[in-house]
Amino acid sequence: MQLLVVEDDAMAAKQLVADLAELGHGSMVAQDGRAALSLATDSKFDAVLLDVMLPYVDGVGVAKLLRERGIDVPIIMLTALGDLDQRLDGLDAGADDYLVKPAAPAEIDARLRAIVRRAGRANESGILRSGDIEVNEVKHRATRGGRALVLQNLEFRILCELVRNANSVVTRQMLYQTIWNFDFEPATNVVDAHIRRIRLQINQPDERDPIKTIRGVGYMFTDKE
Amino acid sequence: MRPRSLRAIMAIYVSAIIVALILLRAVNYRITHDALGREVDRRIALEAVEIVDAGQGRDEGAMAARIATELREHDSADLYLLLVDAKGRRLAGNLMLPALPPPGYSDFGPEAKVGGVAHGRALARRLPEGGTLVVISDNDEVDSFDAMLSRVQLFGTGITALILIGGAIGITLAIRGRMRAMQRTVDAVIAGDLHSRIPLDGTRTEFDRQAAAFNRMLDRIDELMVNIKHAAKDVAHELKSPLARLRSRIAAIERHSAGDPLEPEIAELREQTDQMLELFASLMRLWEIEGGHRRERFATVDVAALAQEVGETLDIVAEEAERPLTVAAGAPVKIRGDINLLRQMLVNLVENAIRHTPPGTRIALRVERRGTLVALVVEDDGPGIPAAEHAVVVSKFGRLETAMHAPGQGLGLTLVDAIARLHHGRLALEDAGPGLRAVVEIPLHA
Repeated sequence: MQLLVVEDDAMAAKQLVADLAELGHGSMVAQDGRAALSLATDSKFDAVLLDVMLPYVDGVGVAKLLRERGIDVPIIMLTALGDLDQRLDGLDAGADDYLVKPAAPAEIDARLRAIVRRAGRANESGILRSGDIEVNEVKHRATRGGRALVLQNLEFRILCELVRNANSVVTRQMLYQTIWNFDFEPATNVVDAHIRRIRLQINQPDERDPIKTIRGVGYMFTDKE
Repeated sequence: MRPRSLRAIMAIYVSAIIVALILLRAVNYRITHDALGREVDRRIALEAVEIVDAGQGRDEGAMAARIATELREHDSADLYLLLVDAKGRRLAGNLMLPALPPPGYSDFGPEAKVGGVAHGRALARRLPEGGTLVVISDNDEVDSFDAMLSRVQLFGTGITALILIGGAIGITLAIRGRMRAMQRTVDAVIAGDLHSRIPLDGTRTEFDRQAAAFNRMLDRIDELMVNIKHAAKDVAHELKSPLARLRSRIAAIERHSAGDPLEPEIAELREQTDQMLELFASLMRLWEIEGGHRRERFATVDVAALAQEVGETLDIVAEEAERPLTVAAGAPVKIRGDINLLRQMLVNLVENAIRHTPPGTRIALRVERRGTLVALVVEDDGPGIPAAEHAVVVSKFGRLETAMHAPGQGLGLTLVDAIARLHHGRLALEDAGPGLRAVVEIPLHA
């Protein structure tokens, strides 16, 4: 992916660009809000990583102006922990997601893929499919190879999230945010316990487990070995 | 025992002054009263001397003449005279006596039936020839003056005592009012409202100056706290970035370590880094809550529904950990609050019960209405915590010796306490006999 990194701290920007390069993303850096606005308006990026504290125009302002100009590039805000106001203002201004600094590159990567995918699938019907698994978000139904799956509400929502992001990583943090509205990480393995339960429900003894554990990061739904 | 309260000291002080005042007035009255008496005695003695001298003590005729002159010459309405001879026959005077008073000075009242005199002072002098000279002073005026004097003294003492008592009450109330204002501020600061200050009335009185000085002290403490927090935050941020990078490197290595003999070691390293990052996250969350700014985002929250939601989330975790969880939430209970923090609070409380009890422990999450409060209760029937150590587990990094092997950084209940306070509530730990009961009480209308 081609990314625009907006970060006024040169050291942090350099590190972020290096981390993203390792994950196969190319990036350009803008060191203030004005530069970010002109770059994002003139060139096409797959996504923008936007720091909140910036000279001239702050991150919230940049997000707002880009949306006003009709530029619907996916935006992920990077905020310092504890700045709830900025986080909410950012989402209000049109950002797609937020991450607390310093974010792990794997986390940034997973968010980018999820957002880009979401943008691409926005106008589909409520049916998601991957491999032999099909979920109908609207009718709240899931099947594997035509066999109906019995899932609790939370389990169903987690499965939807995994299938929607099939073949890319869904981090624990993403699940905490989207499924539980947690803006903190609980001390117990809430996600892992629910995934274990989902596996019990969707996998028959002779079937392949489509949910792959990515250690230290999260889970990935795969449609093939 | 030494009196310590302002009221006791004031009461003793005012009582002492009033007693001294009464004594002083009594002595004052006594002296005046005695002086009056002596003046009367001196006057009748002088009169007697003049009459006796007129007859050189023996000539009763000369004395009688002198008495007649005296009575005629000055109109002594309050002075009565009588001269009798040795046989008791009346020789001169304007006094009618049923019986002669005893020799020397004596007082008499109406029972003596002295003609025309109700109360008086008498001087009876034996004359060498056997006769008796009686001089009587009518004391009615002296007595009424004396009575007036005592009334004035009583009235004066009463007025002064009233002024003293009123003044003492006024001073006590004024001091107490100021002290209460200060106490309220101190309580608020202790409760976490570092911005609370003593109200000033702008009078520049000593009270006001003291309150202003106290407020300046609070400002200074606040400033120092902010500096410390900034320094701590800076340090935390500076440490957190490299730590996060370290963690992602370890996680990347871990992903490629399948089958490697070092695989468990690498996983362990990653978990430890995760714990350190969690600690930073908890600390920063705690600072954020203690800063109080999240109150600005308060909205209506149904805590009963929230408890159901948290129960649903942690049910599987509790079941896997063999500590069955039940939720009793009932009808909606709405408060003003921060839903994310309240959610974190309930999660922390239940997780705390899961993590610090042996398998088989039953855990209950309840929402109870208690008058104007809502109580969020998490109770277990595990081994519990000794009452003496309740304060330890709520304090920052406070962990019991017995819990040192369990994961976590000892901030769970500190966060719960901070979130409860942010909602004007409080966290209390109680003995559930057996087990521990954590109760967060929050006012319904704060």
